[in-house]
Amino acid sequence: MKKENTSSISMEKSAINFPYYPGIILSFFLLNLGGCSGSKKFLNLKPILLEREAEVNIRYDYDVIKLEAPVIIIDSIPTAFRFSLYQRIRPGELLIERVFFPGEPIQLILPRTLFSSDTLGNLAILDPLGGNYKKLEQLFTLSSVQEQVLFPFVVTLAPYVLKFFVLERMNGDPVAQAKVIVSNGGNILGFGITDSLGFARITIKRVEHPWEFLRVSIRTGGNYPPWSGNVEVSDQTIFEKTIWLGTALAKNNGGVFYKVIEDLTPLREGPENGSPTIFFLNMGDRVYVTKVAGDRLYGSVEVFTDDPNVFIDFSGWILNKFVQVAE
Amino acid sequence: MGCLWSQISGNIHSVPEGAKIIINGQNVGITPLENFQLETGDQTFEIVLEGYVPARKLIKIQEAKSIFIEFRMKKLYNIIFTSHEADFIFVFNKVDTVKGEKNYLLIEEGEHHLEVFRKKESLEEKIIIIDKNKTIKYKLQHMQDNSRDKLDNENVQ
Repeated sequence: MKKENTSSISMEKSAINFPYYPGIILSFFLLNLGGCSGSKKFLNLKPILLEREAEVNIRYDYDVIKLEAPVIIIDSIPTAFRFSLYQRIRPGELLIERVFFPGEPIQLILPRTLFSSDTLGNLAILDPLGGNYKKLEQLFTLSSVQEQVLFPFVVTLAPYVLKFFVLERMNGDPVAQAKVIVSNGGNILGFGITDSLGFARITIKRVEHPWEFLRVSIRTGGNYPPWSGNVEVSDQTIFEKTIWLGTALAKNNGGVFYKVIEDLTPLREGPENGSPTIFFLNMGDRVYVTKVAGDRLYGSVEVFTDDPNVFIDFSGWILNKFVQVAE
Repeated sequence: MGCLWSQISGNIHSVPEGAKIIINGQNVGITPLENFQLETGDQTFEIVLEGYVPARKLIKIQEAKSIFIEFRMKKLYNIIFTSHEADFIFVFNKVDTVKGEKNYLLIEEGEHHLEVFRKKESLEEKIIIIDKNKTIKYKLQHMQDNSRDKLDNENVQ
């Protein structure tokens, strides 16, 4: 039996194919090793950087509130309105200020975080422009809803503030409890009573077309003669005047001051009955008496002219029942 | 006494997406992160994504309804940097030093300042632009950008 050298055959076959397989396998490994080593070379390297700030885009979405301020105009229409908002605890830090024109609704849409969450923790100020208007302020609590309407701002003209000092002419002492009346065209616009310092403050509503002057009258319940005079007013808001009451007659003749206690007391030319009357005196008028004859007194009286700073002295007789000694 | 900081809703994004977000040292997730509760005040953000420069930013979070944060990442490129001169010293951005004829570098995208020294003598200064994986063959007076051949053979990824 002939044995085939199968082993030699297979060897031959193998000898034929063997060179290709190693080549392929070797190439495969070399390729992969090369590739693996290439990418591995970049691992764990300390990178070369430009040391730039990280590029970040940030955007906030705020919860907002729509605030509305209604306006009611009483007198004339202002040129514009300046609307400002503050937190009450920080009155020096303006949150926002905007100018609105008449007819334009006063509305602002603002981030809720701008405001204070305290009760009455926010302040709204409306300043009407273009005239003597009153500046208006309103404290409010921020509402939790999306829209908030404030109480209406009532726009009026700023009033006149009249300040009077009423003093006695002779010694400069203040005249207390004097009634000061301000009028125009017969209409009483305001009045006040002086305090212990002789001071009275009267507020008068301003009108669209201001008066040229105001009539001021002072009554002292008979202690001094009534005083009246005109005072000029213009665009100014605050007005001050000092008014002197009483006589300036000097006590240099040894006389005594009497005051008239009845209205329409006659001052006569002579002491006799039926003597002509020079004029009639008012309650409170001062008479400087230098002579006494029974129940008749002779003295001097100051008479006001149209100019409150100009006086005329008259002398005459008066019955003592119409006067009493002035304190 | 409890914590007085309030919280707001945060949406954190990155370009590209898939970056790990670390806030004040704590891993909070992967971008995009939506409706994440952030505390107001100073917060340190770190964003990490493989192949990109890690970003770090201190952000003061304000009181608001919500916040949107987007980090734009800078890519790191694989650069094979070669030179015929073995004694050249290459300094990138006046900070990073490279020596030798062949170096494998990881460089941030953008324009880099390169200064070339031999011993202590400055030979040249250049701006090189890194915008892709490539091989840079340096020659004095000019540089060659030989990306194609070397790239295929080296399998730079």
